[in-house]
Amino acid sequence: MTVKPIALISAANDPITKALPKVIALITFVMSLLLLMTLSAAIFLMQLNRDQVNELTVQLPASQDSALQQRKLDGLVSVLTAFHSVREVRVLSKTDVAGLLQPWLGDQETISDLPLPSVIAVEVTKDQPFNTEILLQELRAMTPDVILDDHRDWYSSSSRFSGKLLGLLGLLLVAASLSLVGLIAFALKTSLVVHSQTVDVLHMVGASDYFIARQFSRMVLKLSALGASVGAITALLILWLFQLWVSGDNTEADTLLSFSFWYLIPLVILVPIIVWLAGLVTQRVVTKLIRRQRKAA
Amino acid sequence: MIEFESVSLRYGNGPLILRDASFHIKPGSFHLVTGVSGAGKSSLLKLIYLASFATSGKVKLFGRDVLTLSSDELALLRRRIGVVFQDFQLLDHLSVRDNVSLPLRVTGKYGDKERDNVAELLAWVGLGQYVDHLPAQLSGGQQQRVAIARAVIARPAILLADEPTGNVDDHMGIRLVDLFEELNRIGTTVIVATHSTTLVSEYNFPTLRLSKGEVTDLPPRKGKIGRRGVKVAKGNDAQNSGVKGESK
Repeated sequence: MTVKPIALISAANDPITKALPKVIALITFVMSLLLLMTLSAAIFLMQLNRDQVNELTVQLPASQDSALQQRKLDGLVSVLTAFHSVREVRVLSKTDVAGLLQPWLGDQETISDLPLPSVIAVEVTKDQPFNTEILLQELRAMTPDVILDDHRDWYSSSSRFSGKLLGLLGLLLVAASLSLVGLIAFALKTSLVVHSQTVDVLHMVGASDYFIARQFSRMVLKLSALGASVGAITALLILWLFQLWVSGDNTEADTLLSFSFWYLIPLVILVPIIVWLAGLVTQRVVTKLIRRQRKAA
Repeated sequence: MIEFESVSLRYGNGPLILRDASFHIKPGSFHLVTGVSGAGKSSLLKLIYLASFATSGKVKLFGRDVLTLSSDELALLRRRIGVVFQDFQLLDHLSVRDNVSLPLRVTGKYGDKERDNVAELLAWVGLGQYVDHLPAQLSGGQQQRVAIARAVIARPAILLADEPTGNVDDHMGIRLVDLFEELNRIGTTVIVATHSTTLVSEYNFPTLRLSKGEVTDLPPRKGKIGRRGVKVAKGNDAQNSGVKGESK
């Protein structure tokens, strides 16, 4: 039977015992927020795109002649209804149009006095190919000044943007990970100086470099587990408080930051990843530093 | 067992500590390393326990050139060497038992049986009731014995002691060397570095004398080997013919 292992590297009097958990907590906090923001942004954009991707808007410029305007509108509706792959055609009421223009033109009463364009919302089927160019040709044959707004163009550009945004957040996560690695390596250099006598004694009694590095890893694993847990929990708490603060605003930020039980999953995964990374870095760095010291001797 | 061929040692750009040293220590022998303070006795021992490496020349341990060994092979070789330091080099945060068990722990073979062996050895060196004490709670002599117990617990083939009598009175010094003699009788090759004239006059062993970086390999004086009036095992004859096997 093997006797329980003991901590051969003493955590007492080692400055990294106090500093490392704090630094790891801070980096984990930042990484947690970045990760949650990345996931929230990805989910939000996916939902937005899913809602928008099958919609078109047909716009008929405003005219003083309301009878002519109505005739053109009816003609466009009939073309749209007859077009393959169109599932639903809906002419927006004047109030709906005024509502859309309100952010730019002011209150609805003022807008109602203005000549407003007619807007038709078109929903196409998801499972069939849809050629916007042909539809536009048919619509222009009926009314040359018609404008067709394909939401899929918007979807395409927003996809590119969201891809870049996710890429940027990913890069920030990598940068935070590299900072973590650098800080641990720096801390270990100090720690090795503090424990130089222990390292010498362990070498003298026949410990391999790997064995000695493992002793440091065990210490760093404990410290990083503590730091990473504190950082992740703090991030979750801050996000939850922020969500409480913005809830009820009915803004997109409200939707974007809505707290979910599912947020726990990436954090539950992030903490052991950080601990594993800290252990791995420690093992590598300590082994390398010990070998460098031996070469110098 | 230990071969030095034209070994020189220099730290950085400093002066030569050892100059062209050549000697051969056979298994089962008992050697003293003498010289004034700063003569290079500790440096010579460091070359043997692989804490430093020759600037030029060749050091061979157990028939292997130490410069050709990987770090893992060096670790395996160190497990066959026990070292007792003048300043003991005990780990302050570990108990007496844990300090002594270090050589066994690093091999990954420290179980209940080995734990009992540690307790037995500590009892043998008179520290049976101090197993759970910290080194700081012990006297210098007691710490010395803990260091010796740590050095021999894994039954090394070579035992090195660097000024083991430096921190103890003459009487305790002689008791310690008697203890090393006992270990030598069971086959351990013992090398003791000392500048104590008392020790050198009290014992009759082959000696490596260091002076100004030069090593002179002196045979024992005429008469009995070992402590005057003490019967010494055959293996410690003047030629150190290595009749005794290594400890396992």
